[in-house]
Amino acid sequence: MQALPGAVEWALTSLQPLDLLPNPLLAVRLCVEEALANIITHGQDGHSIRLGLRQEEDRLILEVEDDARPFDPTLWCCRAVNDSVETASIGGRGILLMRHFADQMRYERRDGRNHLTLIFPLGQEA
Amino acid sequence: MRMHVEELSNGITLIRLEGDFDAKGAGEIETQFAAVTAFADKVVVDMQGVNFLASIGIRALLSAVKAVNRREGKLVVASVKDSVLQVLKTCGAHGVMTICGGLDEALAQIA
Repeated sequence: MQALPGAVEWALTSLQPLDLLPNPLLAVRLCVEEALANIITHGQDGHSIRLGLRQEEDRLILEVEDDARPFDPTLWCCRAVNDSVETASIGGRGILLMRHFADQMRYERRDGRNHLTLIFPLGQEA
Repeated sequence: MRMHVEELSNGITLIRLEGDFDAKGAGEIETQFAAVTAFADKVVVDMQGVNFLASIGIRALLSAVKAVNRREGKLVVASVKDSVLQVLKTCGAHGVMTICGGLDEALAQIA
């Protein structure tokens, strides 16, 4: 988890020139945080992570690539238990957040690496 | 992230959090936060100063709620900003913790 704050910091710095409105900014920031935390949590061994952010017309595309074991978050059945305090899930909420805050989430396993693409609409308050 | 703990005269432990409750922020306070909530029975967590919440912060909050609840105590979260509340609602965590609008309401509820 030690590398996570630095990677999130890089993403936030990269987002600054886009001058995003509060809701898109929250969505992108949250998804960067959750995507990276997910790789670190599920990936087990040490691995390399590549993070890319690019703007395409009115949308922002976040690409996260890693060489950890295969993990497709789009297939993850992430219904967090919220029935009571006693039975509530402590974890498993990060993918739920990504699914909600990203407009689209795509996964591909290619060349031995996980490729996760998250797409966000820009220029509007969600 | 900063954490300030105050023991009030009526046995309430008031925890004021300030900063971003993300991986960096959680790493800065998680040991102290877990230690305080491991023993306090009446806890109010003032989130007025928290501008951002990620799942790692939700994990810390839920762990604390469970720990206090197991001792038949109560933990109440207060003064949650709209963007933070949106995150709590999205993942359903708001349903298993008591969230009050303001600090006075939280203190009255737990007294």
